Amino acid sequence: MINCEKASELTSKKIDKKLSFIEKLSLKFHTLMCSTCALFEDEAFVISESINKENSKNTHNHKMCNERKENLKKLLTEKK
Amino acid sequence: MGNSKKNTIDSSKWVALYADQLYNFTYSRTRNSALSEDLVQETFLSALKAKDRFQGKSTEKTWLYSILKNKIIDHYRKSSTKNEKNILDEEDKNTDAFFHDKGSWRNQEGFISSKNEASKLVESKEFYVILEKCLEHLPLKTRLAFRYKHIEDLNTKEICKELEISTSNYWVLLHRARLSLRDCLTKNKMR
Repeated sequence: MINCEKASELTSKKIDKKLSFIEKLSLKFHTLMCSTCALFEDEAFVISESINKENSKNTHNHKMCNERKENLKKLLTEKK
Repeated sequence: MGNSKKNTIDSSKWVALYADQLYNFTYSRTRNSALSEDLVQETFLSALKAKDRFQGKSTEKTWLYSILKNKIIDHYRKSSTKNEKNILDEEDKNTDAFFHDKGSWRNQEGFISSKNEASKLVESKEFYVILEKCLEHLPLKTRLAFRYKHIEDLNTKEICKELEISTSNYWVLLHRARLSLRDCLTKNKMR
């Protein structure tokens, strides 16, 4: 039976690459009995997925301020 | 025929076409508007200098993005002092702060109390501001490992090379980053 420290290590590993069969089982077995680790797993997955989604979709449309854009235009014509 | 397909560049349209896109890309990664504006400006200026070397193999847009990505990584690199860079802190590797000797959680209260709650929290804009703050508190290599993986989407090999660490150290850093983030997010929990 693994402890919480090991379980969290496996959780992190699971996000980044595949777990071995034994590792999968040990983690599953642990999180069935330990709610803190089960929540850590949910949390870690939700966070990493949401960051990836946020970056690939660029959902929020942040814009550069117009003044800076005008400056930039001038700068580019001068240096051309 | 072949020539008509070749991509060309026209710097007079860059600002109108790409300034917002590049800015948005940078801002969603750095959460810092002044820095993002500077990085976009540097990107355009570098691109202008390298204009003659543009071979038309990729589109103008892809080319500008690749310059920008390098600028962002350069920025992270510069924001660390040389000394910091060569040392993998003990702090980076240690997980004692999070667990008792027998490996049970020191802090039982996590960031979330249910899976639903986690999904709701990460959907709010505020979350990314807090996340960015929490990332800043991580030791350097831990922070960069997490950033490069999730935010810049680099692969393991590239990250290990850039950080000059072994892959096993890399997994340790990511583990440590997630534990620290849990603690930090719990403390700054949005109400």
